[in-house]
Amino acid sequence: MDGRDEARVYMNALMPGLEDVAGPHPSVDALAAYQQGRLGGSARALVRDHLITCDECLALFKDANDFFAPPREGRGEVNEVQVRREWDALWRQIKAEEGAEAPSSDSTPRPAARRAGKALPLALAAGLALAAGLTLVWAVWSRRDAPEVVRRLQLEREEMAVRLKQLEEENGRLREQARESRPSENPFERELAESKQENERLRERLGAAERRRETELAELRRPQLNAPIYDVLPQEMTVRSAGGAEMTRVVLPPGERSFTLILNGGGLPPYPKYDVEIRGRGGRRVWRGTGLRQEGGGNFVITLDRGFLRDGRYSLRLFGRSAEGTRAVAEYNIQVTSGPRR
Amino acid sequence: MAEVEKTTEELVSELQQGRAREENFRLLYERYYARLFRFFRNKQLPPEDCRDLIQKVFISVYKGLGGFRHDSHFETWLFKIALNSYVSEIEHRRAAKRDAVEVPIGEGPSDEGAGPASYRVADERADPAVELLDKEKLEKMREAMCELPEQMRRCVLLRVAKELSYQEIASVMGISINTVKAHLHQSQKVLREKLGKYFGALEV
Repeated sequence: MDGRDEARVYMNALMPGLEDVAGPHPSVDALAAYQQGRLGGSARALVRDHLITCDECLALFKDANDFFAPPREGRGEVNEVQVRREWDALWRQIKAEEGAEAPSSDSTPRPAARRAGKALPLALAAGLALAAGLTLVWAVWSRRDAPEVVRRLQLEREEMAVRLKQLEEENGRLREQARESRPSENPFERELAESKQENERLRERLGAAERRRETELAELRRPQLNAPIYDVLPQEMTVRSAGGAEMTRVVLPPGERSFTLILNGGGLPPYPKYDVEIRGRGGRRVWRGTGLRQEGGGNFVITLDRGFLRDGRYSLRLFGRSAEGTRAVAEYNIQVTSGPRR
Repeated sequence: MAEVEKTTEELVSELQQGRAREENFRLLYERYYARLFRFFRNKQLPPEDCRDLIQKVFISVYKGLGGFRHDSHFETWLFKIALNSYVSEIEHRRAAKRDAVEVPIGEGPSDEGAGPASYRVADERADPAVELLDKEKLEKMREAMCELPEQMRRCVLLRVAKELSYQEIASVMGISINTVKAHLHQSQKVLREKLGKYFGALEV
């Protein structure tokens, strides 16, 4: 048992004496209101004091915290298709229980039946996720290097075509299974019809995404006149003795599609390639670009989409990349703000 | 013109009036599905069980909407239903396990799988393990903790004794996470100085 574990045992043993157990257990409504900051004054203090000493209410409060906290990104176990399927099953069950518009005998959702039809929605979801992911990747990279974007687009198109083909094959396989297991009440028939619709939707989305990309690409190829350009010095060159590092203010008038940052790289140790990472508030990474090279004079030029960085402070970290590894070589601070029309 | 999204209160009111039941209930379902899924997943239930529980919750919601009187927020009501569904599920599993498992003579019933300890009634009797603790250490710990300011002491208790995260402590105490960090940082220095001899380099 280490020091902390031992301290835990002793603190728990001391708990009843260290803190007075406060009042009766608060109701679930009161705990929820406390969690959401809707309790005030003495009621708030009562709940807080109680929580310190009551394990049971503390656990309930943690549950409330879990439940009422804003959604976080992560697990990715819930997807639109799944929710729609679950909804269909639920609504059928409700209708069946109400006895109104009672559907056929298989309307009550059976877990086994639900599980049997999972492969296809997962495949469709994967297709949609792939399309969305590729769109995102494209959006980030497109402003940097148009020829590279064209090449990448080509690859993405090919990947999408392969994915679509896989989905069509999956459809064909399901169609076969449905044919073999007639009569038509077979659930595969329904699965097939649904999957065909999904496929159509996916195809439309892919088409729309392609068209959007073509339009954007055409726009990219068109040179943007008078795009704002900012010289940014590394942090160590802007540090003032009293006030800390200075920010380069990037003021962007409305309507600007993009802006260019020239990162001053004079005097930096030479590396074959460099990476740059942009971090926003709280150190959250918002973008990372790789394979940068020094331009004439040792500077780095990055062109960013206006919609990509919202108003706020950002830190750009430059990393040198070589066979020995990656090392941070400089940091630049900028503040993006919206300015008046030019 | 873009359609304005209905608030939860509007959806519930329309459902209670019997208007566009399927559409309104679907919107409610889609709005809270991910939250319920996350809630049940945080309780370490497998995804399939989470989905089944969500269906049960929404059936309860549908059946109970007529009696929902807006005394509390809809979300609080939904939270209570989710909590009850989870507790019922755990009790159901516990009963199934008790029926299925033979308990050898001389051993008590197993508590394994009975759900979180927090939902069990606490044993009010004195913990015999406390009797075994070193009295001097206990006294030194009491002295050191009593010397801390109240808010700082509570942060330490929640962190060390209750093993809460910074964010959870901030929520319980109703203070910012930075204040929590500052309290813990300061208290660590104090406690190390006073208790280092007894508990080593105490991590708070």
